[in-house]
Amino acid sequence: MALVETLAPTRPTGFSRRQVFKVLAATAAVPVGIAGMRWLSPEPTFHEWNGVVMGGLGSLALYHSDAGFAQATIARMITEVRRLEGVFSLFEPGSEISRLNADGAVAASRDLRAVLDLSRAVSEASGGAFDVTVQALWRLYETHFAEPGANPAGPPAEAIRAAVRLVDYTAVETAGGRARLGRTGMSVTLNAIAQGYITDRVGDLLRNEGFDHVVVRLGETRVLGARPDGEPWLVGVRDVTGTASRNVALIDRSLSVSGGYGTVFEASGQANHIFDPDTGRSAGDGVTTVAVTADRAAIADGLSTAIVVAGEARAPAILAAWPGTEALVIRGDGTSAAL
Amino acid sequence: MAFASPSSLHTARNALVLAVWLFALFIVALIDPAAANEYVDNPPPLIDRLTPEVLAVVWPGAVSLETVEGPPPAVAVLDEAGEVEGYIFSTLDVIHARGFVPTPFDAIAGVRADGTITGATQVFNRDTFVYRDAERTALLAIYLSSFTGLAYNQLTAAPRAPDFVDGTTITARAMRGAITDSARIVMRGLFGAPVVTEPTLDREVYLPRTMDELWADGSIRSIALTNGDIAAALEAAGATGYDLDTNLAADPDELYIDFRFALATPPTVTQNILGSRTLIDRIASEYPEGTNTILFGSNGRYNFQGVKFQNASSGYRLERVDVTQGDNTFEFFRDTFIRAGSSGLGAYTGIVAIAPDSGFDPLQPFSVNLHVLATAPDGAVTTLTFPTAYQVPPQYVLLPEPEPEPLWVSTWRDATPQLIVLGIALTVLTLIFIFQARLAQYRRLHRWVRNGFLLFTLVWIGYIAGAQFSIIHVINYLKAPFEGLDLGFYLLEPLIFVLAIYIVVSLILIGRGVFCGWLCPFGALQELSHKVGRFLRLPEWNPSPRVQQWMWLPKYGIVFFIVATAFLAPEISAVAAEVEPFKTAITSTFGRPWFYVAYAGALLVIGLFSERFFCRFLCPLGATFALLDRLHLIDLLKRRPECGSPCHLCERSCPVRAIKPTGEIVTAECFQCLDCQVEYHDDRRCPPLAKERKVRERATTRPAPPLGQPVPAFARTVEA
Repeated sequence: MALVETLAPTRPTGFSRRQVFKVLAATAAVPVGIAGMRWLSPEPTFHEWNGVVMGGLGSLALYHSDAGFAQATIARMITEVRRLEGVFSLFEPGSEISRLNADGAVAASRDLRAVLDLSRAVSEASGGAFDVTVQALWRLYETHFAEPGANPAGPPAEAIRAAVRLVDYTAVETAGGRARLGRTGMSVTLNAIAQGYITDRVGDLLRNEGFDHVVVRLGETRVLGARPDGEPWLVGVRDVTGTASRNVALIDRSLSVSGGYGTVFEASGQANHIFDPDTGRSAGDGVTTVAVTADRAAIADGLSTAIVVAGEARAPAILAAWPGTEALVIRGDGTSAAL
Repeated sequence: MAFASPSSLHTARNALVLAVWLFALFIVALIDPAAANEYVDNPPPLIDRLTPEVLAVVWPGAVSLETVEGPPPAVAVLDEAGEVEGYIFSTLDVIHARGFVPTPFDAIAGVRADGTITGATQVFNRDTFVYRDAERTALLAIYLSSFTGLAYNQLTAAPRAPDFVDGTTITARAMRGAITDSARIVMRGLFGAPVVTEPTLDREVYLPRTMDELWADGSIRSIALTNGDIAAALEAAGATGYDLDTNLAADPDELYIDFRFALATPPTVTQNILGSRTLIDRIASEYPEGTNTILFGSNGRYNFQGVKFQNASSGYRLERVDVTQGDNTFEFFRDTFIRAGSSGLGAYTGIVAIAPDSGFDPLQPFSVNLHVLATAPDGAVTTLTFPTAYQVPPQYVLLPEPEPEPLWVSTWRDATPQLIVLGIALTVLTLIFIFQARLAQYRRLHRWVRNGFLLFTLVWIGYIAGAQFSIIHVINYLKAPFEGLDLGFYLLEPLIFVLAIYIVVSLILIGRGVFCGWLCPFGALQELSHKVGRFLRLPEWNPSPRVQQWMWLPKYGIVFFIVATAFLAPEISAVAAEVEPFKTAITSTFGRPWFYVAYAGALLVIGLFSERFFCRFLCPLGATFALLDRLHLIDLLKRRPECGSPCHLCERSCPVRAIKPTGEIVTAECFQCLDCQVEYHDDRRCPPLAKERKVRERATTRPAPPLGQPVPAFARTVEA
């Protein structure tokens, strides 16, 4: 063992003053080096993408110092968005949801099952005010107003009653990796919740990739972190007049704004794209706009639609099912309430 | 959640906040983008936007312009004769395309009937990275000018950032896409270009061409034969002196026949040669759709048509010309031959029709055969055949729109230089491992190679190429079978993809150390900074082997937690993955919120005093690889029987203390730095080797000990 001792590096038995100074200086050198690296590297800036997602406008803004990395990440996110459109888009005839509507059943991806399951939960919490099977009504109204000189009052009552019979969220089943529609002629739309899900997916991926300041607007809005200056992100909520009159401050949060103003079938705006599953008529008599914030965009997305249909009175009960969610309700007379 | 009411925004502070907020370009909010710009809402008529400067780029030398209503709206460019040469269009008018910012840009380009772009430029752009930036605007203009002369659907791809100019890449790509899409709409709307799904002969488009152009581009082929040529052919056929339909002239150099022909199906060919559409229209009305036509013409003593096609006795056959394609021969008769008088092809011109069901494929090469008949005195007929090959020129073939290539394809193409550098680096690393036994014999060389490679890994792989492999990649790859992420999602990171393959192979062959010790930028940063610490003789701390056994374990717990939560609670997983300081220290060069930076800094400080502290005890990525390390096939690192007992040299020189007191190397903790192999081969440090060396040296200085004498003891040798 004497051999080993002679070959081993000599170890100090205690620290001299010189050693202590060296240790402190070396420790201090690390932050200086880090500051130098930050100074040498490009300033982080926002890298943006604008495009079309599920038929609407979408955008992504990532704050990062490496432009190439940010652009490559954006490209990967868009790849994921396109894949999810292949699940949820009613415009794509080959999408899972289109096949579900056409065949009444489909081998469902995790994504489709997750959204259908969440939809059912929102439906139950809202007493059926939120219902993905309103697609039958949408089709009825769309066909009705596509005719020149269509009756502005809407489709005939008989047709509405027939369509309402095809609206029942409890008839949508997900089990054993399949999604099934319980009644013939039924069809679903996930346009009131899938955008939120896509927004969440991309938000999750970006969080994993280490982006700290991000605005994801892929149908719904989700922000990661605060703005680089530490202030919350401000997002304008457009009311029925079309102006962004109120701002919502967000940090690590999602916002969904629903209102009948989004898509109208005819000029007066009386018939719009949100339906009351009970009456089969366009919803939103009491409130014009509902903005919901939640941690996840899919939940905000579902709840905002549910509240537009259910009305302000039932909103607190619906929100209570998801702790931490809040809503801003703008009424027809322009007044508003935070719930 | 803070909902600011409208009235509170009137306060000065809120107004300031709002102003700052508006200034920051990323707030997309719900400000109506179109309202911002009069130009976008009410652009001046395109013809007014075509200033002389714009026109000089888009269509240099345009003679006269004329607005067409469309759709799509455009400006027609007319030649002197008033014929449409092509159209100039605006992407704003045609498709309202957008780039980096919500406000659409306006790119103007010209397209000819054959689909080539005559020039392109941008006249309006509010892209924040380009607007009012003369340098970037100029670069964009250079890029757009590269489209000139290219087919609208095969424009050059924009280079990727950062090789191009930050921020303009997306605009450049968007403009390219907008010009392609608008040109396609113009081609279909204004030129009536048909949509084809496979290569198809153009039967619709007429473009003015001179005879010289038709000769030059291969539309017309010909064969010229003199009397001498025919005489020679007769001789070769053993038919000298036979009787010809048209006798040879005395002068052998005199022209016998100059035979010209062209595939006449494309209207551009026929109308330019014949000077009118009459024959095209007649064929369209008298023959079935899909009929192909060939124009023949000749000058000289002999003419291609002869007279026998008018005789029932010869079956109305055009005996002097036929066409072969493969095994098929196509002959022509009175009902499929129309004489056209004289034309640019010769004094005698005619057109033949080939039925659509005949098996003739106008896109494939074919041969036009000119026959000269020679009759022997006994009445037997010898046919001299002069074939000429023809292939339809590509400008008459309509190609289907190329499938838009997946995004990752262009990413790989753009990443080629980086892939080459990485390929060289991985080749060098592979060679290092193949020849590690040789390398380890040279202590200084090994040190240079190792430190050099680590520096490359840190600076190039880490900071320049941004290819820090991370636990996030492992999770994404692990999730692939469950989440159905698109393959493109992975292929969009070419360097990471290549690294992942290399890591898997190296894990199976050698162990985790190939990546951890050589290719991980953060590992390189720690090791290099620790080496600086060694150089400055900073104190070094390592746990005792017993304690270390326990300290090796937490990283496995961390990776288990991250992977489990990745599937169960992704939000928590994302936070847990922050154990890894890679994206702070490498990917974003410390440009992150302070607590991440402080954490990474603390790890680097600890690393100054304890080699690769993070790698050995905390790294979830390393733990993943260490788990898989059990698979490795090759034990690269050599040991001697003396290792561990009695010698502990390597154990002490191993920077990460991955050698047990028993002398066994724990490959799961080994970073393959090869330091122990340098010791192994050092005949001044490795005791058994040193012993051999001394025996050898003694042998050279004094005679070898007689056989049977005991070899000097190990310890004595060292003490000597």
